[in-house]
Order: sequence, then C-alpha cells, then structure tokens
Amino acid sequence: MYELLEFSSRGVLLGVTYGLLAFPISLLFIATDTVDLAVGAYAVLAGAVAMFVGGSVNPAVGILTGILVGVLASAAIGSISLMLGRRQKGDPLVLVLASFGFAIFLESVVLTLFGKDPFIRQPFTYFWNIGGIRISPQAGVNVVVGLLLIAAVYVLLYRTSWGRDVRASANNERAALLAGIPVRALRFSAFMLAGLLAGIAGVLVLYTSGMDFASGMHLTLAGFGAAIVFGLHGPLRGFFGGLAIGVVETISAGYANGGLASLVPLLFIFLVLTLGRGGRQGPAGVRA
Amino acid sequence: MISGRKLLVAALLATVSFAASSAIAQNAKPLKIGLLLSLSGPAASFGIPERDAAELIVAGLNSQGGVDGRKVELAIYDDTTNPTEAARGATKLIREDGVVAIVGASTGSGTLAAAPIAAREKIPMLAPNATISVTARESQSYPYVFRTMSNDLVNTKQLYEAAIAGGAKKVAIFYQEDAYGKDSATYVKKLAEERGAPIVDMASAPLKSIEVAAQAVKLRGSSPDAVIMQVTAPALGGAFVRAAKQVGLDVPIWGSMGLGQKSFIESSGAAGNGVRLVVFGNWDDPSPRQAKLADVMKAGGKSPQGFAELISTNGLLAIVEAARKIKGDITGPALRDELEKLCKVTTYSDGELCYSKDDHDGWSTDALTTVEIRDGAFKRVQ
Repeated sequence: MYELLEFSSRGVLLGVTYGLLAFPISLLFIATDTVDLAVGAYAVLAGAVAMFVGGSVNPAVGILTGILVGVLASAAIGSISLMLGRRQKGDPLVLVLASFGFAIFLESVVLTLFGKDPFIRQPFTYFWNIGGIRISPQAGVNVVVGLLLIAAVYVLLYRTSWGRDVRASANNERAALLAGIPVRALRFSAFMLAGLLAGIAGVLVLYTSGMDFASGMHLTLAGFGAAIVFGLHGPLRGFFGGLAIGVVETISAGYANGGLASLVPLLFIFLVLTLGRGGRQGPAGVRA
Repeated sequence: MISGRKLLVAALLATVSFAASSAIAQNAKPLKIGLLLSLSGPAASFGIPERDAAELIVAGLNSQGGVDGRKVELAIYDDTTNPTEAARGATKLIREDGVVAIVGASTGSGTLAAAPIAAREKIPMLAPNATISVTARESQSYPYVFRTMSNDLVNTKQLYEAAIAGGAKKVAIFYQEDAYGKDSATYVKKLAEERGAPIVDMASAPLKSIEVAAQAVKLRGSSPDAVIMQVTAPALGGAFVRAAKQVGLDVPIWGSMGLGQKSFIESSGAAGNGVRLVVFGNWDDPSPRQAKLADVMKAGGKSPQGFAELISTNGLLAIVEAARKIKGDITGPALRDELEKLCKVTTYSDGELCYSKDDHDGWSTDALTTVEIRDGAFKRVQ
C-alpha cells in the first residue's frame, strides 16, 4: 500500500512535466484549431540553449535565452501558419504537417549546434524526505511553476479581453472577423505564447530528467497524450490529463512486466478516448 | 688509410645489395586492405576513429618498411551507416580496388549485409562488431568472417561475473526495451539460474524514457545487493543512476560496455560516482598497451575517442600478422587459412587474439577491463 502511494506521488511529479507540455498544445488548439507537432522541438531547443548559454554565461541568462529562443522558434511556425492561412484557406491539417517538418528541421539544428550528447543540469545535490519518499527539490520547483502557469493561463483565457477574443475567433472565425476582432494577430500571439510555455517546459525538463537532440517527438507525444485524454478544449484539463498519465505510467512501470509497462499508458489513453466523454463536448473555447 | 682495392670491394658489395633489395621491393606487390566503415550517419562516431587509427597504424608500418618489403595500401569506402551501401562497398573494394582483406563494417547490420559478398569473392572480413550473429557458425559467410572484439555474450557474461564477484547474491536487472537490452537481460537471467542464484527482479524502460524513478522503486522493493544495467543509451543509463540515488536504491550498479562514454558520466552527475562498467578500452586511465596506441594517435594529431580505435587496429594487425606468414602470393583464401591459425597474437588491446577453425571470435574476457566512475573519469579497478 505504501509502495502504491510512492508510485502515485512520483507519478504526479512526472505528470507535471507532461501537463506543462500539454499547455501549449491545448492552448494552440483553442486559439487556432490546429495541433503544432513541433512543441517538443521548441522545448528541446530551449533546453539546449539554456544548457549551453547557462554553462558559459550564467544559469539565469541561459534560462531566459532558452525560453526566448523557444518563443522565436514558435513565432516562425506562427508566421508560416499565417502564410498558409492566406493560401490554403485555413485547412488545419496543412499546418500540422508543416509543424511536423519544422520539428525535424529543429532536431537537425540542435544536433548540429549542440551535438548528440544528453543535455542535463542538476543544481540540487540533496533530496527532500517527505514521509519516507525521497524527492529532488527540483520536483517542488516544477509543481510550483506548473501551478503558477495554470493560474496564469486560466486568467489569460477567461478573465482578459485577449482570452475572450481568442476563444471567440476559434469558435467562429467569420463572426469574430465581423465583430472586428483581429483574428490573424491573435493567432500569431497564441503561437508566441505557446512557444513561451513550451520553452518553460523545456527548461524544467532540462533541470529534471534531461533530454537529447532527439527527445522532441517523445515530448510532443507525451504532451499530446496529456492534452487529449480529458479533452483538447481546455489547458486545465490538459494539465490534469498529464498528471493522470504520469500516475498510470509509474504504477504500470512498478507493477507490470517489461514491455507491457510501456503499453499500459497508451492503453489508458485509448480507453479514455473511446469510452469517456472527454473531447467530444462543445466547440473549441468552451469553459475549461 | 683504406686501400683502393678495399674501397672497390665495398662499392661492389653496396651495389649488389642495393640491387637485390630493390629487386625485392619491385617484386613485392603492395598489400591492399579495404576499410569498409561508417564515416557518416549515426555510426560515424565509431567509423571515423576506426579509420583514423587504421591510417596511422598503416603509416607507421610503411615507415618501417611495410610487411616483409610490401607496402600496405588502404582503400576506404564510406557505407553511410547503411547496410545496402555496405554491401555495395564490399563489391567495389574487392572488384575495383582489388583488396585482399576488409576491415569492417562499423555496424553489425553492415557486416551482415557485406559478408556474403566477401565470402563469395573469398576475401576475409575482419568485423569490429559485438553482434552475436556476425560469426554465426551456420552462416554461409562464416569461413571468411573474423571478429575483432569480444562479442556480446562474452561481454554480458563478464559483466555478470564481475557483479557477483564481490559477493552479491541478489542481483536485479534494468534493461532498455530493444533487441540488445532484452536479449542480454534474458541471457543474464539464464546465467543466474545456472548459478542457482536467480535474478530477484527486472525492470525496463523504452530507449527514449526521460524518467525511470518508478523502475528504480520497483527494483528497490526486492532489496537487491547489486543492479546490472543492460543499457547502451547514455541518457537512459544516466537517468537510471540518478533515479536509483533519488529513491534510495543504494547498491552497487554495474553498466554494460555501451555506456563507456563521457556523456554517460555527464548525464549521471554526482550519482554516477562508484558506478562500474566492464569495457573493452578506457582512455581515461589506459592500460600500458592501450597507452601505446594513444601515443601513436597523439603523434598523428588525433586523440582516441572510445574502443573503436582498438577494434579497427585489431583487425588490421591480424591481417598483417597473417600476411607475414604467407610465403607466396597473398590472396584472400591464403589469408583466411593463416588467420584461422593465428593465436597468442598481441595488439594494442589487452588480452590475446586467438582464432581457430571453430572460433572466429578470437577475443575473450582477458581483453576486458573493469572500470569505476570516480571524479568524472573512468578509473581502472585492479
């Protein structure tokens, strides 16, 4: 029983990372009705830059530069989205494919600039002992940042005019345009915000478990799984989806054998999607 | 004062001996060896040092007069870490460049693709791979394939023996979910059962996992005396070592050869101190013989990277040694026959090379070294 408690709490801590990666994915889905598959690549880019700039200048400058580079990378895909929107009349699938290509491009960039070795930073050499469970203080940092971001994203989407406009233009683009909402500018700003969130997630992954140049797709899929499991329409659901997947993953790694342990989380997502109501109700932009 | 007559005799002698030596040099065709290596693609981190070491060794041999008066020439082909290219490269090296033996390919799959061609053309391949199937006895190519390092079974067995040598009775395994990880974990399990001390628990993770604390907690539950990691990816190995430290799995951790890289030390951080590996070569703290190769490399302006330098020179020196024993024309079949008779040959690797009709693996546990991570470097354990 005690062991189960340890697996669950470690699962929650792992899930925080997934939840952080789910933020940008569901935010973009709400704002633009598409999925950006390069989110994990922004995170890796931000992490790699934070590692190298942090190593040669100082960690704080590294973290800020890393996040900034993440924002710039997603601004690039935001510009591509605007260009495509003009030509393709907004077929969301085109952007999904474009972002996939961009993710591969970023992976090569990271490999060329920063090499094939893993990126990791570990400032904490001691552990907290909470009820007999040893936990790195970094996990505490992740939880605090995760909760702050939940609050910030919630306020931004549901308590500001920016958020209202974003939800309105995702819900009905034509109506939003007629109402004088600058849909294109809003979409672009949503990409920048997604890049910011992915960059923060990337820096936290760098400081928690580390990554290498090829981790991008793994991170995207982890975040995507978290984002869809309880419905793509709300970033808050994405965060809790991340926690749920984290818990299922650690419990299955603890009790199931071998390859089965990696299968269970996917099975869980599949079951929730087929049996549950998540993701079915309402158009984009409904309440979280 | 030297008399005129003596001078004449000396001059005559000098002329005759010069003529004789140049006659030998002209008769002796160069010894052409092919390097079929991955100089680009994912395995380039092996292929490039393999080539660099081979080139420097050949330059050294030629400056000392070559092999019995024959110059050694290298023909190099980049298989781009692609088995199809490796097969094509074997054909090109044999048919166009006329090599009598090949060192390569850098990957096991490259060797498996090229070996049937080399065997058909009766050209020996010296394979720098640990992959078991490369020297499978039942393969058609077997007569012409010789291994230049200890194979995965030898390496895995030695890792297990080293782990229990300290008295560990309860061993647990952490492995990566791919063919290598699963096969070697199953093999250790079998070895342990034969010893009457079954493995107490096993946990695994996909190659790309970023967090394996749950796996470490699972293994901790069976309170092992030692944990063996069958992992080749430095990031995953580091993640497990850190997770073990975090969850309080404070037992000796043993890692497989593939983790013998700087990036594993870096990714493990402080938790890596005391982790032990069984490796084929170690440049942080080289044995006297390996240090000699390091000197050769440094004199040529290169620094050794891993065990790749050792395994390509092992192949090259085996060919040279076999060629020295051949009296007449050096051909593929003649080299093959002599290679099979090579035994107690020393190279820059530890241990001795010994091929026979039934053993084309050649390298055994005496080539392996146990190392421990201390202060960010691999130190030899005596």
